[in-house]
Amino acid sequence: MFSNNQKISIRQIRRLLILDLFGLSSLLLPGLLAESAGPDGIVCIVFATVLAMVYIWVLGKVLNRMEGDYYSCLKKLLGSFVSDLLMIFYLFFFLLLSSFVVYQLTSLVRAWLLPGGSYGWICALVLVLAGAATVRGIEGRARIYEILFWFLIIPLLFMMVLASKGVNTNYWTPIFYTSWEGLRQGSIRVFVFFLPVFFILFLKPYCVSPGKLCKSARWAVAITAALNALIFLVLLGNFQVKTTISLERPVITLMSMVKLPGGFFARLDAFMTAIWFFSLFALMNTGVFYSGHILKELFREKRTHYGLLAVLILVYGLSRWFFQYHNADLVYSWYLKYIALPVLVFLPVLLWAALALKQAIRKERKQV
Amino acid sequence: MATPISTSLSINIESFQRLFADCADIKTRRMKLGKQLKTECFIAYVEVAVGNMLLENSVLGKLLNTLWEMPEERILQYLRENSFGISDVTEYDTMEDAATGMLTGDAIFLIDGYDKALKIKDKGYPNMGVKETQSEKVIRGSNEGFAESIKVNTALIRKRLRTPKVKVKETFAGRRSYTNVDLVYMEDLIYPDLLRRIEKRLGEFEIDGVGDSGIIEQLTEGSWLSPFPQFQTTQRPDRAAMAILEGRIVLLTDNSPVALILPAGYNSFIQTSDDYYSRWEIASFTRMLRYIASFLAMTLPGLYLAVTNFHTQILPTDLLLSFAAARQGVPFPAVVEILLMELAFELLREAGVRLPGAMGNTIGIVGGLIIGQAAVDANIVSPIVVIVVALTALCSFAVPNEEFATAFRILKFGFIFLCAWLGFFGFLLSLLAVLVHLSHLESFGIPYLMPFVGPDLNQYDDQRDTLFRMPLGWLKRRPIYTREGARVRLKFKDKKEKKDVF
Repeated sequence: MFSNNQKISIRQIRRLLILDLFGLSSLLLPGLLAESAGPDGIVCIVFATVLAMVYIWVLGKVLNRMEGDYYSCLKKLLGSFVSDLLMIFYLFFFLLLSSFVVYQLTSLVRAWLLPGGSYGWICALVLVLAGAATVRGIEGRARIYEILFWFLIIPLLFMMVLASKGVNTNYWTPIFYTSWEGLRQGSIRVFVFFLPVFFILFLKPYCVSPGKLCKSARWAVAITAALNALIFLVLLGNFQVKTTISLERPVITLMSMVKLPGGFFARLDAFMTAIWFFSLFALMNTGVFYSGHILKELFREKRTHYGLLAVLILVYGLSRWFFQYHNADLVYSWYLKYIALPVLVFLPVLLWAALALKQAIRKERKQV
Repeated sequence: MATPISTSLSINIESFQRLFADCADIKTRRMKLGKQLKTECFIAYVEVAVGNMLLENSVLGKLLNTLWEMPEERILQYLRENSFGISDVTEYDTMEDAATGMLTGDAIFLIDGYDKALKIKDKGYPNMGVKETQSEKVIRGSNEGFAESIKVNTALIRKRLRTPKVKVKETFAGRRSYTNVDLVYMEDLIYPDLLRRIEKRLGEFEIDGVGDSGIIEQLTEGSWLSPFPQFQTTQRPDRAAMAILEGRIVLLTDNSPVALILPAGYNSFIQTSDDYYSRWEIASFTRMLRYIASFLAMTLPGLYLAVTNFHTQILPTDLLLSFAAARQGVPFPAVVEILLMELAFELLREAGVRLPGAMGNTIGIVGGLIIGQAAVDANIVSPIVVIVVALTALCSFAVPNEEFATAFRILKFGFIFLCAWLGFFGFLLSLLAVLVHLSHLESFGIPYLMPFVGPDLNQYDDQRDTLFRMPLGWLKRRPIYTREGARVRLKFKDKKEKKDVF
């Protein structure tokens, strides 16, 4: 009989990761890439993809040596105090991520679907839904995105094909013209959007076949990178570098310009916003889920959902902070660049080294 | 406390009469049997249920005739050994059990000197017999429908599945109605855990009476608050038989022509019997139509409101102008128009259902054509809204299962309110809410969205029978409901031979 065991399949994990990576990156990355590297943004995507693959390889090394879930592994290796501190760091990361995504989602809705709509109401409704999606665990969430996947990807590809009619390939040049500094900055920016692949460290206890987690992460990064490259090229080919930089969400603007054959619909931007609505919701929901999960672990909460409630309230508050203080974006990017990125990249490396050392010592002791 | 059957007939009669005091419909008769008419007996039955006890061709008549011809001293021995060769006889030790047995529509026979009551089968309660199905009509295939007698219904399934592996587990529900509930399944195809689950749930409640399978459905479903049914209902024995072949359980209730099938999911509600009787191209086409219909039945009025009130830029100018022209002179906002028309339609539907056939049709014509036209002429609603509401209604009728379609009808109002309030954002929000709900919903442990979710659990085979119904030759495996290891349902014996036939 089908077992309700809070475990999800590799296919579900792959789809979850793709939607987690795709939503925010496709919305914000084209402008940022065009700004830092111009047409060489495509090279940055390639570099960042290679970096992400290396990162996944390191994560795989940690996963292979990890016994049980991530928190208990940290506890065994570093003790309760340090592992709790690290978990608080992760909690903070997830809370900020969800808040930023909710802010982006609400802004998207207010810009394209409900101009002048109340920020508080939109944000609250989205968060209530996120709470409902999270409360029954990971299986329900995985099912949502398993269903949505093709409904989002097929229309996107279709629209990209239609949009490619207006592409002027001259706008893709000159290539290899940007400075190393520009390439480095662009690559790091892309890599930051690929950072959520570290979620696989938390996914191990939920996965039916944990051995294939890295493979699914690699696929997710590859597919997201390909989609982002496609979107970037189409945008560049339609808008050139300057307009791509100046537009807040160039991909949605592009959608408003694409004409469907047949002429029944004049513009499709409202319909196509659904793609980003659902994919941003996926990432935000992931953040809410892991924040709630970490709070449950830290406070040993078993049956109640007070942790989740606290997370939803905190995310609401933080997203309002993003909304009200325009510098909040800058603070968040500073946090990502100087705190989150180094810790999230180097912690797995250190863990890998520590776990390998521990394993070697254990082996030596056995031999003795 | 139970009253044991005594060897003294007068004591038994007394306790029987005490039990059935003031029951005018219970007929009793005292008789004398044996060649010399010295052995006293007592027969009791529900009026109408037993009518021909003196006829040669009834079991009871045959028994009485034999006993009249028999010497008195041999009667008891004959009864003890059941030497009459009557198969439909059940023995009871207590008067209460005998009374319950009689109330199933059979006769109770007591004889002096014998400490058991015999229940003898007769024609039983009157019922409507096998009839054509009123819903779930098909173009190709049998139109035989379930009757109201549970015995007839089990026989209709048995007629289609002639294997001893089909098991019928009998239970009772209703403390006062004591209604028969049968669980029909294929022994080697079901998950034993599924059977345990439904038996457990049937034992979890005690109710005074069960009028229809709908009561069992509501009391045993896992998620009471969900608008979506967690049991599939059918009035078709062929549908029930097919479900049994898929490793599902059919729950039959006495006095109800509606069988419940468990587990159920979104996909199973969209399937119909003739999907498998027709060629795959047309089956796939109609299947896809039904999926689109189920979506539009819930979303179309909301979508109309979102587009016309919030996102007019979606529509080409000509179309927009024609919408605007159609709305000219209508004093209400679009949401009021939609609600008025939807409520009017729901009223018509309710009136049509309650009225006799011919009158129902008249109501449809009067309501749909005359009132609709008059409402448009009087500028109460615009013609576009009439089209939208009519199309939504058509879509809801295209969903083959009434209970399932009802869920969309109810959710439609949620979509209308949210879309009127928040436009396309409200539409996305309601869509996501429905999806979140459906992704969490399960029917007896099987996710409701199977096989759109977790198709890998059955080697992606279930996906061949979802949006498209692939050629029958490709549907070689039973769906996920079937026990693992018993999922092959089609094998070609010799492929070469098959090719060489023509």
